[in-house]
Amino acid sequence: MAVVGIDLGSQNTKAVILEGDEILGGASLETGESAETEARMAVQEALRQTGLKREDLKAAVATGPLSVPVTKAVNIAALKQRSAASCIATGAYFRFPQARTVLYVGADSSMAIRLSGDGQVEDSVKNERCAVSSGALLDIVSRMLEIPVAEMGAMSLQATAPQTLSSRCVVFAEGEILSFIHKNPPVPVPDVLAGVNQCIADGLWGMVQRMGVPSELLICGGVARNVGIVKAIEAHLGKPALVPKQPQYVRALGAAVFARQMEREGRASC
Amino acid sequence: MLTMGIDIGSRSSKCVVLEDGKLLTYGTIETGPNILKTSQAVVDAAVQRRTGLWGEYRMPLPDVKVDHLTIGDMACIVSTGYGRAVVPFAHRSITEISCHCRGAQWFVPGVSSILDVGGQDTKGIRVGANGEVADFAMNDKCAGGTGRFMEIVADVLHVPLSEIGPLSLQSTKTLPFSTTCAAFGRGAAVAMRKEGERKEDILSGLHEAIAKRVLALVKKVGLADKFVITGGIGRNVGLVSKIEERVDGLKVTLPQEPMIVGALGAALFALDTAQKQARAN
Repeated sequence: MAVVGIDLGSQNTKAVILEGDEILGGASLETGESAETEARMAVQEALRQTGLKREDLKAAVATGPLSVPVTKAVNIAALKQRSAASCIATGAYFRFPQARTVLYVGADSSMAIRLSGDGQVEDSVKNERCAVSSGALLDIVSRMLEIPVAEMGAMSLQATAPQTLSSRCVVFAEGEILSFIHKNPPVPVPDVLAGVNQCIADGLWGMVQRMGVPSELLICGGVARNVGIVKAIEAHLGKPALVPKQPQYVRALGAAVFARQMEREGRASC
Repeated sequence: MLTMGIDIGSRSSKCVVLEDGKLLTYGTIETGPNILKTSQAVVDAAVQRRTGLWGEYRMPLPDVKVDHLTIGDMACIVSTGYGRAVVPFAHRSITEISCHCRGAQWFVPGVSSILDVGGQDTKGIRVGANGEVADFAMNDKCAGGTGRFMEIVADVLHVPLSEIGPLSLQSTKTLPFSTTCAAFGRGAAVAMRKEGERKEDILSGLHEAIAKRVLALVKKVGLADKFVITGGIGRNVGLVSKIEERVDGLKVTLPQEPMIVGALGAALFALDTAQKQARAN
Protein backbone atom coordinates (compact mmCIF):
# COMPACT_ATOMS: atom_id res chain seq x y z
CA MET A 1 0.00 0.00 0.00
CA ALA A 2 1.48 3.34 -1.06
CA VAL A 3 1.58 6.29 1.33
CA VAL A 4 2.97 9.83 1.09
CA GLY A 5 5.02 12.07 3.37
CA ILE A 6 4.94 15.84 2.79
CA ASP A 7 7.53 18.24 4.15
CA LEU A 8 6.51 21.91 4.10
CA GLY A 9 9.93 23.52 4.30
CA SER A 10 10.54 27.25 4.51
CA GLN A 11 12.20 27.20 1.12
CA ASN A 12 11.18 23.92 -0.53
CA THR A 13 8.17 21.66 -0.31
CA LYS A 14 8.92 17.95 -0.69
CA ALA A 15 6.83 14.83 -1.15
CA VAL A 16 8.04 11.23 -0.83
CA ILE A 17 5.97 8.16 -1.77
CA LEU A 18 6.71 4.97 0.12
CA GLU A 19 5.39 1.45 -0.32
CA GLY A 20 6.58 -1.07 2.22
CA ASP A 21 10.32 -0.43 2.52
CA GLU A 22 10.65 0.92 -0.99
CA ILE A 23 10.84 4.61 -1.86
CA LEU A 24 8.85 4.87 -5.09
CA GLY A 25 9.20 8.55 -5.84
CA GLY A 26 10.09 11.97 -4.51
CA ALA A 27 9.68 15.56 -5.66
CA SER A 28 10.78 18.94 -4.39
CA LEU A 29 9.37 22.34 -5.36
CA GLU A 30 10.22 25.83 -4.23
CA THR A 31 7.74 26.95 -1.57
CA GLY A 32 5.67 29.85 -2.82
CA GLU A 33 3.27 32.15 -1.07
CA SER A 34 0.94 29.37 -0.04
CA ALA A 35 2.68 26.09 0.62
CA GLU A 36 -0.64 24.41 -0.12
CA THR A 37 -0.31 24.70 -3.91
CA GLU A 38 3.25 23.40 -3.82
CA ALA A 39 2.21 20.48 -1.63
CA ARG A 40 -0.40 19.44 -4.20
CA MET A 41 2.04 19.83 -7.07
CA ALA A 42 4.85 17.98 -5.29
CA VAL A 43 2.53 15.05 -4.58
CA GLN A 44 1.40 15.07 -8.23
CA GLU A 45 4.98 15.10 -9.46
CA ALA A 46 5.98 12.23 -7.13
CA LEU A 47 2.91 10.28 -8.30
CA ARG A 48 3.90 10.82 -11.91
CA GLN A 49 7.28 9.15 -11.22
CA THR A 50 5.56 6.10 -9.74
CA GLY A 51 2.74 5.72 -12.23
CA LEU A 52 0.29 5.66 -9.33
CA LYS A 53 -2.89 7.70 -8.96
CA ARG A 54 -3.95 9.90 -6.05
CA GLU A 55 -6.51 7.24 -5.02
CA ASP A 56 -3.69 4.74 -4.57
CA LEU A 57 -2.28 6.77 -1.69
CA LYS A 58 -3.82 5.33 1.47
CA ALA A 59 -2.36 7.67 4.09
CA ALA A 60 -0.45 10.93 4.33
CA VAL A 61 1.58 12.74 6.98
CA ALA A 62 2.60 16.38 6.74
CA THR A 63 5.46 18.01 8.63
CA GLY A 64 7.88 20.94 8.44
CA PRO A 65 8.10 24.46 9.82
CA LEU A 66 5.10 25.76 7.85
CA SER A 67 2.02 24.51 9.62
CA VAL A 68 -0.26 25.15 6.65
CA PRO A 69 -3.34 22.97 6.45
CA VAL A 70 -2.91 20.80 3.35
CA THR A 71 -6.16 18.85 3.74
CA LYS A 72 -7.63 20.17 0.51
CA ALA A 73 -4.41 19.97 -1.46
CA VAL A 74 -3.68 16.36 -0.57
CA ASN A 75 -7.28 15.15 -0.41
CA ILE A 76 -6.50 11.97 1.48
CA ALA A 77 -8.83 11.08 4.35
CA ALA A 78 -6.06 9.60 6.52
CA LEU A 79 -3.97 12.76 6.97
CA LYS A 80 -2.02 13.70 10.09
CA GLN A 81 0.63 16.19 11.19
CA ARG A 82 3.85 15.11 12.91
CA SER A 83 6.58 17.24 14.45
CA ALA A 84 9.65 18.08 12.41
CA ALA A 85 12.01 16.51 14.97
CA SER A 86 10.23 13.14 15.00
CA CYS A 87 10.08 13.04 11.19
CA ILE A 88 13.80 13.82 10.86
CA ALA A 89 14.63 11.12 13.42
CA THR A 90 12.37 8.58 11.74
CA GLY A 91 13.62 9.34 8.24
CA ALA A 92 17.25 9.14 9.39
CA TYR A 93 16.68 5.85 11.24
CA PHE A 94 14.92 4.37 8.20
CA ARG A 95 17.99 4.94 6.02
CA PHE A 96 20.80 4.60 8.57
CA PRO A 97 19.71 2.76 11.73
CA GLN A 98 23.28 3.01 13.08
CA ALA A 99 23.07 6.85 13.32
CA ARG A 100 23.06 8.08 16.93
CA THR A 101 23.07 11.82 16.29
CA VAL A 102 21.29 13.50 13.40
CA LEU A 103 22.20 16.98 12.28
CA TYR A 104 19.50 18.52 10.11
CA VAL A 105 20.41 21.72 8.28
CA GLY A 106 17.65 23.50 6.40
CA ALA A 107 17.34 26.80 4.58
CA ASP A 108 16.85 28.78 7.76
CA SER A 109 16.55 26.37 10.60
CA SER A 110 18.70 23.57 11.91
CA MET A 111 18.42 20.91 14.52
CA ALA A 112 20.62 18.33 16.23
CA ILE A 113 18.86 15.23 17.53
CA ARG A 114 20.17 12.39 19.69
CA LEU A 115 18.57 9.07 18.83
CA SER A 116 17.99 6.03 20.98
CA GLY A 117 18.92 2.59 19.65
CA ASP A 118 15.41 2.14 18.25
CA GLY A 119 15.29 5.48 16.48
CA GLN A 120 13.37 7.52 19.06
CA VAL A 121 14.20 11.16 19.83
CA GLU A 122 16.14 11.23 23.12
CA ASP A 123 17.07 14.89 23.08
CA SER A 124 17.21 17.69 20.56
CA VAL A 125 18.46 21.23 20.17
CA LYS A 126 17.12 23.71 17.68
CA ASN A 127 18.60 26.76 16.12
CA GLU A 128 15.76 29.21 15.73
CA ARG A 129 17.04 32.43 17.28
CA CYS A 130 20.08 32.95 15.10
CA ALA A 131 20.55 32.38 11.39
CA VAL A 132 24.26 31.61 11.49
CA SER A 133 23.94 27.80 11.73
CA SER A 134 21.65 27.43 8.76
CA GLY A 135 21.54 27.85 5.02
CA ALA A 136 20.66 31.55 5.38
CA LEU A 137 24.27 32.65 4.96
CA LEU A 138 24.64 30.51 1.81
CA ASP A 139 21.67 32.31 0.27
CA ILE A 140 23.12 35.71 1.10
CA VAL A 141 26.55 34.80 -0.29
CA SER A 142 24.98 33.24 -3.36
CA ARG A 143 23.19 36.51 -4.13
CA MET A 144 26.28 38.62 -3.40
CA LEU A 145 28.75 36.59 -5.47
CA GLU A 146 26.17 35.47 -8.06
CA ILE A 147 27.09 31.82 -7.60
CA PRO A 148 24.33 29.18 -7.45
CA VAL A 149 24.00 27.65 -3.96
CA ALA A 150 24.40 24.20 -5.53
CA GLU A 151 27.93 25.03 -6.72
CA MET A 152 29.23 26.63 -3.54
CA GLY A 153 30.34 23.41 -1.88
CA ALA A 154 32.47 22.05 -4.72
CA MET A 155 33.93 25.47 -5.46
CA SER A 156 35.01 25.95 -1.84
CA LEU A 157 37.13 22.79 -2.04
CA GLN A 158 39.43 24.62 -4.50
CA ALA A 159 40.43 27.08 -1.78
CA THR A 160 44.15 27.47 -1.17
CA ALA A 161 44.00 29.89 1.76
CA PRO A 162 40.52 29.84 3.33
CA GLN A 163 39.51 33.31 4.53
CA THR A 164 38.39 33.16 8.15
CA LEU A 165 35.18 35.01 9.00
CA SER A 166 35.36 36.71 12.38
CA SER A 167 31.61 37.42 12.48
CA ARG A 168 29.25 34.99 14.14
CA CYS A 169 26.19 36.78 12.76
CA VAL A 170 25.05 36.49 9.13
CA VAL A 171 24.23 40.19 8.96
CA PHE A 172 27.73 41.18 10.01
CA ALA A 173 29.26 38.39 7.91
CA GLU A 174 27.62 39.95 4.85
CA GLY A 175 29.58 43.16 5.48
CA GLU A 176 32.77 41.25 6.17
CA ILE A 177 32.49 39.27 2.93
CA LEU A 178 31.87 42.50 1.06
CA SER A 179 35.21 43.78 2.40
CA PHE A 180 36.95 40.59 1.20
CA ILE A 181 35.74 40.92 -2.36
CA HIS A 182 36.57 44.63 -2.47
CA LYS A 183 40.09 44.13 -1.16
CA ASN A 184 42.94 44.94 -3.50
CA PRO A 185 43.61 42.32 -4.79
CA PRO A 186 40.27 40.68 -3.95
CA VAL A 187 40.22 37.47 -1.91
CA PRO A 188 39.70 34.57 -4.39
CA VAL A 189 36.10 33.34 -4.44
CA PRO A 190 36.93 29.73 -3.35
CA ASP A 191 38.77 31.12 -0.30
CA VAL A 192 35.74 33.25 0.61
CA LEU A 193 33.40 30.27 0.18
CA ALA A 194 35.64 28.02 2.29
CA GLY A 195 35.49 30.61 5.07
CA VAL A 196 31.70 30.81 4.79
CA ASN A 197 31.33 27.03 4.93
CA GLN A 198 33.69 26.84 7.90
CA CYS A 199 31.69 29.51 9.74
CA ILE A 200 28.42 27.59 9.22
CA ALA A 201 30.04 24.24 10.09
CA ASP A 202 31.51 25.63 13.33
CA GLY A 203 28.08 26.82 14.45
CA LEU A 204 26.54 23.46 13.59
CA TRP A 205 29.27 21.53 15.35
CA GLY A 206 28.46 23.45 18.54
CA MET A 207 24.91 22.09 18.31
CA VAL A 208 26.16 18.53 17.73
CA GLN A 209 28.43 18.82 20.77
CA ARG A 210 25.50 19.82 22.95
CA MET A 211 23.98 16.43 22.11
CA GLY A 212 27.22 14.70 23.15
CA VAL A 213 29.87 13.70 20.64
CA PRO A 214 28.23 10.91 18.65
CA SER A 215 29.54 7.51 17.61
CA GLU A 216 27.79 7.87 14.25
CA LEU A 217 26.67 11.25 12.93
CA LEU A 218 24.19 11.61 10.10
CA ILE A 219 23.95 14.95 8.30
CA CYS A 220 20.81 15.73 6.34
CA GLY A 221 18.61 18.57 5.12
CA GLY A 222 19.16 20.52 1.92
CA VAL A 223 22.40 22.12 3.15
CA ALA A 224 24.00 18.65 3.49
CA ARG A 225 24.44 18.77 -0.30
CA ASN A 226 27.23 21.31 0.30
CA VAL A 227 30.35 19.10 0.43
CA GLY A 228 32.42 21.94 1.88
CA ILE A 229 30.21 22.14 4.98
CA VAL A 230 30.06 18.35 5.33
CA LYS A 231 33.87 18.10 5.12
CA ALA A 232 34.33 20.86 7.69
CA ILE A 233 31.99 19.04 10.10
CA GLU A 234 33.81 15.75 9.44
CA ALA A 235 37.07 17.51 10.35
CA HIS A 236 35.55 18.31 13.77
CA LEU A 237 34.20 14.78 14.07
CA GLY A 238 37.51 13.17 13.11
CA LYS A 239 35.87 10.64 10.78
CA PRO A 240 33.37 10.48 7.92
CA ALA A 241 29.75 11.30 8.64
CA LEU A 242 26.75 9.45 7.18
CA VAL A 243 25.20 11.48 4.39
CA PRO A 244 22.17 10.16 2.45
CA LYS A 245 22.33 10.53 -1.32
CA GLN A 246 19.42 12.93 -1.37
CA PRO A 247 19.63 14.44 2.10
CA GLN A 248 16.92 17.03 1.41
CA TYR A 249 14.22 14.31 1.48
CA VAL A 250 14.95 12.84 4.91
CA ARG A 251 12.22 14.79 6.74
CA ALA A 252 9.60 13.97 4.10
CA LEU A 253 10.73 10.35 4.19
CA GLY A 254 10.21 10.29 7.97
CA ALA A 255 6.69 11.64 7.41
CA ALA A 256 6.08 8.87 4.87
CA VAL A 257 7.25 6.24 7.38
CA PHE A 258 4.69 7.61 9.87
CA ALA A 259 2.04 7.46 7.15
CA ARG A 260 2.91 3.82 6.53
CA GLN A 261 2.48 3.11 10.23
CA MET A 262 -0.92 4.87 10.18
CA GLU A 263 -2.00 2.88 7.20
CA ARG A 264 -0.97 -0.43 8.81
CA GLU A 265 -2.73 0.42 12.07
CA GLY A 266 -5.82 1.43 10.09
CA ARG A 267 -5.91 -1.95 8.37
CA ALA A 268 -5.31 -3.82 11.62
CA SER A 269 -8.28 -2.12 13.29
CA CYS A 270 -10.63 -2.93 10.41
CA MET B 1 41.08 77.17 22.28
CA LEU B 2 39.53 74.93 19.61
CA THR B 3 39.27 71.16 20.06
CA MET B 4 37.69 68.50 17.87
CA GLY B 5 36.09 65.11 18.44
CA ILE B 6 35.50 62.70 15.56
CA ASP B 7 33.32 59.62 15.96
CA ILE B 8 33.64 57.23 13.01
CA GLY B 9 30.77 54.80 13.51
CA SER B 10 30.02 51.70 11.46
CA ARG B 11 27.13 53.46 9.71
CA SER B 12 27.49 57.17 10.42
CA SER B 13 30.29 59.56 11.31
CA LYS B 14 30.06 62.66 13.47
CA CYS B 15 32.38 65.58 14.12
CA VAL B 16 32.11 68.15 16.93
CA VAL B 17 34.18 71.33 17.37
CA LEU B 18 34.34 73.02 20.77
CA GLU B 19 35.63 76.49 21.58
CA ASP B 20 36.92 76.48 25.16
CA GLY B 21 34.52 73.65 25.93
CA LYS B 22 31.48 75.36 24.36
CA LEU B 23 29.79 73.87 21.30
CA LEU B 24 30.91 75.77 18.21
CA THR B 25 29.70 73.51 15.40
CA TYR B 26 29.06 69.90 14.43
CA GLY B 27 28.23 67.78 11.40
CA THR B 28 27.27 64.22 10.48
CA ILE B 29 27.61 62.09 7.36
CA GLU B 30 27.21 58.47 6.36
CA THR B 31 30.37 56.41 6.83
CA GLY B 32 31.79 55.54 3.41
CA PRO B 33 33.88 52.53 2.44
CA ASN B 34 37.05 54.60 2.69
CA ILE B 35 37.58 55.80 6.26
CA LEU B 36 40.36 58.22 5.30
CA LYS B 37 37.97 60.05 2.98
CA THR B 38 35.15 59.80 5.51
CA SER B 39 37.37 61.42 8.18
CA GLN B 40 37.99 64.46 6.01
CA ALA B 41 34.41 64.61 4.77
CA VAL B 42 32.94 64.69 8.26
CA VAL B 43 35.25 67.59 9.21
CA ASP B 44 33.98 69.42 6.12
CA ALA B 45 30.40 68.68 7.18
CA ALA B 46 31.06 70.18 10.61
CA VAL B 47 32.64 73.43 9.37
CA GLN B 48 29.99 73.79 6.65
CA ARG B 49 27.31 72.91 9.21
CA ARG B 50 25.70 69.97 7.45
CA THR B 51 23.93 67.01 9.03
CA GLY B 52 23.52 64.68 6.11
CA LEU B 53 21.70 62.03 8.05
CA TRP B 54 18.81 63.48 9.98
CA GLY B 55 18.27 66.87 8.44
CA GLU B 56 17.73 69.73 10.83
CA TYR B 57 19.98 70.85 13.68
CA ARG B 58 18.60 70.44 17.18
CA MET B 59 21.33 72.22 19.11
CA PRO B 60 21.61 76.01 19.03
CA LEU B 61 24.93 77.00 17.49
CA PRO B 62 26.67 80.38 17.98
CA ASP B 63 26.07 82.74 15.08
CA VAL B 64 29.68 83.00 13.92
CA LYS B 65 31.37 82.04 10.68
CA VAL B 66 33.16 78.69 10.94
CA ASP B 67 33.60 77.57 7.34
CA HIS B 68 37.19 78.84 7.24
CA LEU B 69 38.29 76.46 10.03
CA THR B 70 40.62 73.58 9.21
CA ILE B 71 42.12 70.75 11.20
CA GLY B 72 45.26 72.90 11.52
CA ASP B 73 43.32 75.32 13.75
CA MET B 74 42.58 72.63 16.33
CA ALA B 75 44.65 72.50 19.53
CA CYS B 76 43.87 68.80 19.80
CA ILE B 77 41.80 66.23 17.90
CA VAL B 78 40.51 62.98 19.45
CA SER B 79 38.99 60.18 17.40
CA THR B 80 36.59 57.51 18.63
CA GLY B 81 34.21 54.86 17.32
CA TYR B 82 34.67 51.81 15.17
CA GLY B 83 37.07 53.54 12.75
CA ARG B 84 38.94 55.58 15.37
CA ALA B 85 42.35 54.02 14.67
CA VAL B 86 42.29 55.07 11.02
CA VAL B 87 41.69 58.82 11.36
CA PRO B 88 45.03 60.13 10.05
CA PHE B 89 45.01 63.55 11.71
CA ALA B 90 43.84 62.56 15.21
CA HIS B 91 46.29 63.18 18.06
CA ARG B 92 44.71 60.52 20.26
CA SER B 93 42.07 57.86 19.94
CA ILE B 94 39.80 56.89 22.84
CA THR B 95 37.20 54.10 23.00
CA GLU B 96 33.58 55.00 22.34
CA ILE B 97 32.64 53.66 25.79
CA SER B 98 34.70 56.38 27.50
CA CYS B 99 33.59 59.03 25.02
CA HIS B 100 29.88 58.26 25.40
CA CYS B 101 30.28 58.32 29.18
CA ARG B 102 32.00 61.72 29.04
CA GLY B 103 29.65 63.19 26.43
CA ALA B 104 26.50 62.02 28.22
CA GLN B 105 27.58 63.92 31.34
CA TRP B 106 27.96 67.10 29.32
CA PHE B 107 24.36 66.77 28.15
CA VAL B 108 22.88 65.31 31.34
CA PRO B 109 24.82 66.06 34.53
CA GLY B 110 24.44 63.29 37.09
CA VAL B 111 23.75 60.53 34.54
CA SER B 112 24.15 57.04 36.01
CA SER B 113 23.19 54.59 33.20
CA ILE B 114 23.71 54.95 29.48
CA LEU B 115 22.33 52.93 26.59
CA ASP B 116 24.00 53.52 23.26
CA VAL B 117 22.46 51.79 20.27
CA GLY B 118 24.69 52.17 17.26
CA GLY B 119 24.56 50.92 13.71
CA GLN B 120 26.30 47.62 14.45
CA ASP B 121 26.74 47.41 18.18
CA THR B 122 24.94 48.21 21.39
CA LYS B 123 26.45 49.20 24.72
CA GLY B 124 25.20 49.54 28.25
CA ILE B 125 27.36 51.72 30.49
CA ARG B 126 27.17 52.39 34.23
CA VAL B 127 28.67 55.70 35.30
CA GLY B 128 30.63 55.78 38.56
CA ALA B 129 30.44 58.43 41.30
CA ASN B 130 33.24 60.48 39.76
CA GLY B 131 31.91 60.27 36.23
CA GLU B 132 34.16 57.38 35.26
CA VAL B 133 33.03 54.19 33.47
CA ALA B 134 32.16 51.86 36.37
CA ASP B 135 31.05 48.95 34.19
CA PHE B 136 29.90 48.26 30.66
CA ALA B 137 28.43 45.49 28.52
CA MET B 138 28.56 45.33 24.78
CA ASN B 139 26.82 43.42 22.02
CA ASP B 140 28.93 43.42 18.89
CA LYS B 141 28.49 39.80 17.84
CA CYS B 142 24.85 39.75 16.81
CA ALA B 143 22.89 42.28 14.78
CA GLY B 144 19.74 41.48 16.80
CA GLY B 145 19.70 44.52 19.07
CA THR B 146 21.37 47.05 16.82
CA GLY B 147 20.42 49.74 14.36
CA ARG B 148 21.16 47.28 11.57
CA PHE B 149 18.08 45.24 12.49
CA MET B 150 15.90 48.35 12.18
CA GLU B 151 17.56 49.26 8.91
CA ILE B 152 16.83 45.84 7.43
CA VAL B 153 13.16 45.88 8.42
CA ALA B 154 12.70 49.54 7.39
CA ASP B 155 14.16 48.58 4.04
CA VAL B 156 11.80 45.65 3.36
CA LEU B 157 8.85 47.82 4.43
CA HIS B 158 10.02 50.69 2.21
CA VAL B 159 9.90 53.20 5.06
CA PRO B 160 12.78 55.70 5.47
CA LEU B 161 14.73 55.00 8.66
CA SER B 162 13.93 58.43 10.06
CA GLU B 163 10.19 57.73 9.79
CA ILE B 164 9.91 54.30 11.41
CA GLY B 165 9.70 55.85 14.89
CA PRO B 166 6.78 58.23 14.29
CA LEU B 167 4.99 55.65 12.11
CA SER B 168 5.18 52.93 14.76
CA LEU B 169 3.47 55.24 17.27
CA GLN B 170 0.32 55.04 15.12
CA SER B 171 0.14 51.30 15.72
CA THR B 172 -3.08 49.89 17.13
CA LYS B 173 -1.72 46.39 17.81
CA THR B 174 1.87 45.35 18.47
CA LEU B 175 2.63 42.28 16.38
CA PRO B 176 5.05 39.98 18.17
CA PHE B 177 8.40 39.51 16.45
CA SER B 178 9.17 35.91 17.28
CA THR B 179 12.80 36.21 16.33
CA THR B 180 15.64 38.29 17.67
CA CYS B 181 17.80 37.51 14.63
CA ALA B 182 18.01 40.34 12.12
CA ALA B 183 18.42 37.90 9.23
CA PHE B 184 15.16 36.15 10.16
CA GLY B 185 13.56 39.54 10.82
CA ARG B 186 13.59 40.29 7.12
CA GLY B 187 11.56 37.14 6.37
CA ALA B 188 9.27 37.69 9.35
CA ALA B 189 8.41 41.20 8.18
CA VAL B 190 7.76 40.03 4.62
CA ALA B 191 5.51 37.24 5.88
CA MET B 192 3.48 39.66 8.01
CA ARG B 193 3.03 42.01 5.05
CA LYS B 194 1.80 39.07 2.97
CA GLU B 195 -0.75 38.31 5.65
CA GLY B 196 -2.03 41.85 5.20
CA GLU B 197 -0.62 43.33 8.41
CA ARG B 198 -0.02 47.08 8.60
CA LYS B 199 3.47 48.56 8.55
CA GLU B 200 2.93 50.51 11.77
CA ASP B 201 1.99 47.36 13.66
CA ILE B 202 5.00 45.45 12.33
CA LEU B 203 7.29 48.33 13.33
CA SER B 204 5.74 48.50 16.78
CA GLY B 205 6.55 44.80 17.23
CA LEU B 206 10.06 45.36 15.93
CA HIS B 207 10.67 48.15 18.43
CA GLU B 208 9.35 46.02 21.25
CA ALA B 209 11.68 43.13 20.36
CA ILE B 210 14.67 45.47 20.18
CA ALA B 211 13.71 47.31 23.38
CA LYS B 212 13.66 44.01 25.30
CA ARG B 213 16.99 43.03 23.94
CA VAL B 214 18.89 46.29 24.50
CA LEU B 215 17.45 46.75 28.00
CA ALA B 216 18.74 43.32 28.99
CA LEU B 217 22.19 44.66 28.19
CA VAL B 218 21.80 47.79 30.37
CA LYS B 219 20.28 45.77 33.20
CA LYS B 220 23.40 43.61 33.17
CA VAL B 221 25.48 46.59 34.28
CA GLY B 222 22.73 48.19 36.38
CA LEU B 223 19.88 50.46 35.42
CA ALA B 224 19.39 53.53 37.59
CA ASP B 225 18.27 57.15 37.53
CA LYS B 226 19.33 59.11 35.47
CA PHE B 227 19.08 56.86 32.47
CA VAL B 228 20.22 58.33 29.15
CA ILE B 229 19.88 56.95 25.63
CA THR B 230 22.56 57.99 23.13
CA GLY B 231 23.29 57.19 19.50
CA GLY B 232 21.10 57.67 16.46
CA ILE B 233 18.46 55.49 18.06
CA GLY B 234 17.74 58.29 20.54
CA ARG B 235 15.96 59.95 17.65
CA ASN B 236 13.64 56.97 17.16
CA VAL B 237 10.59 57.97 19.23
CA GLY B 238 9.00 54.56 18.68
CA LEU B 239 11.87 52.65 20.23
CA VAL B 240 12.33 55.16 23.04
CA SER B 241 8.66 54.84 24.03
CA LYS B 242 8.91 51.02 24.06
CA ILE B 243 11.98 51.30 26.29
CA GLU B 244 10.16 53.71 28.61
CA GLU B 245 7.33 51.18 29.02
CA ARG B 246 9.82 48.68 30.36
CA VAL B 247 11.90 50.58 32.89
CA ASP B 248 9.45 50.56 35.83
CA GLY B 249 8.62 54.22 35.90
CA LEU B 250 12.20 55.35 35.46
CA LYS B 251 12.42 58.44 33.29
CA VAL B 252 14.40 58.12 30.08
CA THR B 253 16.42 61.26 29.42
CA LEU B 254 17.35 62.04 25.86
CA PRO B 255 20.22 64.35 25.01
CA GLN B 256 19.10 67.11 22.67
CA GLU B 257 21.29 65.61 19.93
CA PRO B 258 21.83 61.95 20.86
CA MET B 259 23.91 61.20 17.77
CA ILE B 260 26.82 63.45 18.67
CA VAL B 261 27.33 62.33 22.28
CA GLY B 262 30.39 60.20 21.46
CA ALA B 263 32.01 62.87 19.29
CA LEU B 264 31.31 65.49 21.93
CA GLY B 265 32.94 63.32 24.60
CA ALA B 266 35.97 62.94 22.32
CA ALA B 267 36.17 66.73 21.87
CA LEU B 268 36.08 67.15 25.69
CA PHE B 269 38.94 64.67 26.06
CA ALA B 270 40.77 66.67 23.40
CA LEU B 271 40.24 69.80 25.51
CA ASP B 272 41.78 68.05 28.56
CA THR B 273 44.83 67.10 26.55
CA ALA B 274 45.20 70.54 24.99
CA GLN B 275 44.92 72.28 28.38
CA LYS B 276 47.47 69.94 29.91
CA GLN B 277 49.88 70.70 27.08
CA ALA B 278 49.27 74.44 27.41
CA ARG B 279 50.07 74.26 31.12
CA ALA B 280 53.19 72.18 30.48
CA ASN B 281 54.43 74.81 28.04
